[in-house]
Amino acid sequence: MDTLETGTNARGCPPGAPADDAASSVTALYERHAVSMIRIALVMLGDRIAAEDVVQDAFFGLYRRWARLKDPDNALPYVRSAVLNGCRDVLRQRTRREGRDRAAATDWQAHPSAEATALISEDRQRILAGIRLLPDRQREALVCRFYLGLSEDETARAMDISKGTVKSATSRAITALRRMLEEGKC
Amino acid sequence: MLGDNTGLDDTVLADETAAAMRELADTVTGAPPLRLTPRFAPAPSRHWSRHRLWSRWLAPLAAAAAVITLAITLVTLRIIPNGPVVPPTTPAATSGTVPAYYAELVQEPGGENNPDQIQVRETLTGHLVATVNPPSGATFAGVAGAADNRTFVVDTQPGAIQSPNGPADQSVLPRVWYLLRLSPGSARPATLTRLAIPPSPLGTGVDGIALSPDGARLAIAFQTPGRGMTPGGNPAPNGTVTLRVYSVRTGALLRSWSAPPRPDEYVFTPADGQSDSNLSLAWINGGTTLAFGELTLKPGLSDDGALPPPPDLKSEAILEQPYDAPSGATLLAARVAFTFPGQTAGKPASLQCGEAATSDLVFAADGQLICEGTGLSRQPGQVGSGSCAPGTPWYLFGLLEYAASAPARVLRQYTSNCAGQSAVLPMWTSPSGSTQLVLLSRQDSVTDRQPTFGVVRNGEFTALPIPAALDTAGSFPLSYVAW
Repeated sequence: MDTLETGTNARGCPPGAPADDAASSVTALYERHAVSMIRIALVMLGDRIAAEDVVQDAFFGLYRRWARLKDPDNALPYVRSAVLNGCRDVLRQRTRREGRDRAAATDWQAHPSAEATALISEDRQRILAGIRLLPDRQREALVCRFYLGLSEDETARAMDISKGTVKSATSRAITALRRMLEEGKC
Repeated sequence: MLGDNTGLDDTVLADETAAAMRELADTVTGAPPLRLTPRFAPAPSRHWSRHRLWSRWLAPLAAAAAVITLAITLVTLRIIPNGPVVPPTTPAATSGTVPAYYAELVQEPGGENNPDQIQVRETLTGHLVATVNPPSGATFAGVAGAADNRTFVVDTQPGAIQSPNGPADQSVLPRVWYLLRLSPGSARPATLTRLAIPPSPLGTGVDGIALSPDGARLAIAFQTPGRGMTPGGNPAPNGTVTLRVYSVRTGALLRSWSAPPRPDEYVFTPADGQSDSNLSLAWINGGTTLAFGELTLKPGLSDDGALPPPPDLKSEAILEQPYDAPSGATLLAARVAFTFPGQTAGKPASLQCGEAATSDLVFAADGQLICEGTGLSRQPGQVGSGSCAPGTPWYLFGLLEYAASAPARVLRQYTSNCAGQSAVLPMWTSPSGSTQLVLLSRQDSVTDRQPTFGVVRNGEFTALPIPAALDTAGSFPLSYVAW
């Protein structure tokens, strides 16, 4: 499970250490956290290449804004938020593309990656397929709650929605997922 | 674990969901080298930072703009007749049953991050009547129509894309309100006019919009959860929902009711997660009442550590708030018009509405609710999951009409075999309830996912050209389209 670390600053340096230049600081942060961020994006998107691109963009965004980052401890929360935002962008664009390219959409939804096919049990592949059919907000709520293990308050902050919306989105997601499994939709 | 498909316990399903996510995540064991150059050169006209900079100045500018717009009432901003001019549609051309035109949010071609346009099309033919571009620096966010099928209200939000530097939820970006008037067959088939309704402030979500049948009043459901706008902000309390009604002509606030934060009850919950939904809020009974959904969750299931069971949906209800109720009244005192059970162990043997009924609000003139129902025709254990036996129906879905004092009436019923992502979702109904426009997704095999759009009348479905906004696989953004 990927959770935010505390106790050191986001660059992996002791608190109060003098700031490195942006490139080295962001690179160090990337080396330490890129895998966990790609994992988050992969769970959100179901697409390894897109996940890597989202994470690259998030760290590049941090690099561009490094000079304006008042508290380096906020760097990792910033990146995680940027990754979630980037995933939303991809999903939104994907929804748009689906209208123009149904074949691509069907491919994405119907066929897991070779890695997933090889490494993940059939039952859990069905769950993952069901998760990908959920509306974006419900999928993100599940990722925050059940993959990242965030509390409802933390999920509300991460998604920038109310705690009530987190609850309803999670409830609806589980209901929909169970329905899809029971009815053989995934 | 999932083989028999029966009685999946929520806790088990939550645990399995978490485990499935972890298994997928664990396939990532390394990362490519970091590139500190942009993958794509940003399009200058769409660069987010410009919107963000603008949005920081929005509050004072909005206040000034509100004063100005109140003074001059309606100021026509743009007249964009760049769609083909078509002859005015006669009543005969609509077959007397469905509205002649719809307005939909469609992404402007040429780039995935381009803003949404409004396209106006003929319902029966799909022919393009007009295309309306958003004001510079904005994108359309929602659309709602009046009963005359010529008057719509649309709202815009700044920017066209989300950004790591922006709020995570686009629903909290400021909204600006416009009137869209259709004059098919004229030189200006569509005109967009800014309204004097105050822009919503940054950080206030817009959960639902509904234009009264006469086009004179706009109801907006806001959610102001007091959340921080930056990662790592203060804890977000449960949201306060406010339902406001504005005069379209003057922008004056006519009514305002609120629902205080409550731990296990929520109102305005679009099932598709979309903001600015025109289906989570509805004017009914000739514009004298507003209807909206309410979810009640079983209490005591939150914030108890990692991987808690999800909150159970105890019940769903549709509430009705009389327009003549004085401002200041609590929304939760609204009359309960319909109730539906929450999560149940199994599907009912006959069609029943429930899961989407509170978020896809379509009403006939006398307050009858048109909703999607589901039910079982065979127990799921009789058909192996995933084995998809063609021609072996085992569940029902269809369109139902609920009246307050009469049994539910089946308007159209389908059966589907095991591999279906099937649904029939109402989007519009005639005042009598005899005719509906619906999105039908009937999936009888793994590869057949194509949704269709059409009319249900006298128990028969007739396909029509599908609006582009709905022509998607997987999710159905119903509220991108308005009649």
